[in-house]
Amino acid sequence: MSGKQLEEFKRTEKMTRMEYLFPVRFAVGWMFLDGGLRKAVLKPAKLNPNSASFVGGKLVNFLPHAGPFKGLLLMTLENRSLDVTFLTVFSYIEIIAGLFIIIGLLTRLAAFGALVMSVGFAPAYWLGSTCEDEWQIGALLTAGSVMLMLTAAGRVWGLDYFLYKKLGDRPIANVPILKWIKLW
Amino acid sequence: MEMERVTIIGIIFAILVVGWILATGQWAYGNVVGPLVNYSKIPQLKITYVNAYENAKGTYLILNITDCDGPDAYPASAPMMEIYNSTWHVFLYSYNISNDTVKVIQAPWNENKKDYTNWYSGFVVVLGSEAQFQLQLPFHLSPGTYYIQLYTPAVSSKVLAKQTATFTIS
Repeated sequence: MSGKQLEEFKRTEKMTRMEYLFPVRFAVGWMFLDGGLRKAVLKPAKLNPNSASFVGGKLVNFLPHAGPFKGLLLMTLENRSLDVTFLTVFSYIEIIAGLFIIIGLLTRLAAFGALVMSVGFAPAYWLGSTCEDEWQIGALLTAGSVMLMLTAAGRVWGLDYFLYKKLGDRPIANVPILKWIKLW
Repeated sequence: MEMERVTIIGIIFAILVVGWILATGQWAYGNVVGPLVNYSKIPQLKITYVNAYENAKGTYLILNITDCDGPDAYPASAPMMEIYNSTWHVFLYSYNISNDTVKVIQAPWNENKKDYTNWYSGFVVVLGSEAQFQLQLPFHLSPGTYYIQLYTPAVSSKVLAKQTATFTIS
């Protein structure tokens, strides 16, 4: 390595070209956007508790090996209105977080939402009759969400470019903990 | 100074993500230190409650059954049930199970997917759900202790051994 190359290497070794993050942004974002659209838009019967397609029935499947989450699941399942409200809100958060990650708007906040959802379906991680399906999905989405959140991936090839240029860094609120979570 | 902060945050999140992935992988599949498990591969029914008494028509059998392992895409079934003691036994096939079931009470957490019986599959139980099946059996049982065995197709004898329960007729 020549002296000039070494100098260039030292200058750039800790730099990430943000353009390269777009495939991950799209993949993580689309997983959530697709999940939300399927339930809330493409087949609304999935959110109708009187329909055979109601996804609340899937929460029952998580129960046997849900470990410490079992009590919370049972409480949700035994309270039908809570179950429907939870799934409806969850679906719309999936749509908003997924869409925002793809277009790079409020990317850090959206990725934080994606992270919470990825970790939140841990009770289903044990499901996967042919391979380790749910755990693999959850693990990759968790890692992807953390990466997008830490790198503020929407500042390049995303609408956060304009927000950051105009407003700089902005936390959710200037209070402990929340001040660490940036909006974009 | 700025680089140091980035490094610290990077290390913290690296530890959290690596820890989360390894811990949940071990919890769900034992894929870090073993033994490897996959609870969603083979169905397993469990009898959580059993009671029986004699009446004018025969024997009234009450069974609570849950499906505690297996795939989520389709329910587990038990197309055959055996009732036995040391000197006697009877097999109830799927059509007997279906015909003799007079009531099915769903657990309060069962959602739109209900447990049921039919002529082809006998007892049909959705993963994670539970139901109480009440059967009016057309025969009397003498006082004593009896065993119930549920048979699920294509599962090992180890799994079948767990699909048992005991009841007493007094």
